[in-house]
Amino acid sequence: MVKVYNEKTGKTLTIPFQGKVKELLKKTGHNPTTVLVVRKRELLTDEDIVAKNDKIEFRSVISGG
Amino acid sequence: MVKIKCVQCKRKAIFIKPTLCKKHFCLYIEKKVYNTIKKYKLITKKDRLVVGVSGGKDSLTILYLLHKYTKNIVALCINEGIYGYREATIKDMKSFCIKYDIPFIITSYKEEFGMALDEMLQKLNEKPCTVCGSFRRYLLNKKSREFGATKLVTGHNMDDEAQAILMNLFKHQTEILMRLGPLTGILKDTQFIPRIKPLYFITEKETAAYSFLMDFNITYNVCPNAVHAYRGVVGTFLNDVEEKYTGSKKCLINQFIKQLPKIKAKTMKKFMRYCVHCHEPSMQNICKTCKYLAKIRVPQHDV
Repeated sequence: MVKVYNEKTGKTLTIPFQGKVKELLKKTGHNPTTVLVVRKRELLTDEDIVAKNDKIEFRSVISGG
Repeated sequence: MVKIKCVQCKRKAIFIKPTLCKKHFCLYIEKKVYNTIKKYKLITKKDRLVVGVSGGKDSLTILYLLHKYTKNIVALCINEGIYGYREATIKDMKSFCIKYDIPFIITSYKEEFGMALDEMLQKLNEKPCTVCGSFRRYLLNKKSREFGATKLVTGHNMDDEAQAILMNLFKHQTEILMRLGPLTGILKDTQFIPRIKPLYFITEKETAAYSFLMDFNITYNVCPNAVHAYRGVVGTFLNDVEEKYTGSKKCLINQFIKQLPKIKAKTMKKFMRYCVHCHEPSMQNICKTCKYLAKIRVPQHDV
């Protein structure tokens, strides 16, 4: 199971997933232009692979004000 | 396992379009910003810069890059008085300025106008961002002038600009378009401090990635009034277009830059008046700030 922490909402989603970042974004309903995807303090590209048991963080790129 | 490689050095890429590793991505951002400064002659050696900062990713990025470029800068932060919002970003901004030894000034609507934004909004039947923007622009210009600035720097990025272009076109406010561009201020005037936007060609995602890679301490915080903002609707629309048609924002900006001289030439004669009350530059006889202040019955602010 992949854990996805959303910085914007402060919520963590646990989902069965294995595949590319862009597929994870699509599955969770995020536009790739609006989020940074982070794993272990490293930025991932849309083409990187998310493995089972990965902990992922979505960080919104849109300013809050 | 798929690994996209940096086009410069073949290390693992951390960003696509441009496809670069951490080191080359940061260099790319810095080079692009400094090239914008040079190409549009945004800063001269004699310039004294006031940088309008909120403590968010854009303002800290521009503050950091300008701090590397020139030592003649002061950070200016305006506390609008939005309960539970601005405090966190001001804290981030203060820590940042102390870390990099950048002088900073903090002022507020309460201090300058006798009332916080939250109180103003209770008395005005207006959209929060319209009121807030009017007071903020007024104060940024006034305070910059008081601190002897020759240029006011803002952290507006490509997304901000693309949104502003569309918003003004959708509302048929074509005259306001002339205020846009990497360097604003169409006529030389001692009362008006020209504004520059060195992040003009950097997308919001690029700025976010840069501030993340540079480890700037930024608290994610959403303005409670943002939910009412037209900008948010236009921003979402633009991001949807960008996802389907990559490069749309860049195209919009580049086309706009080409048209900007014509827009300025057509409309500039109508402008550069002064408010009869506060004597600040205004598009009308009485500036918006003074109109709002009259409505909320605050005694005339210090002019």
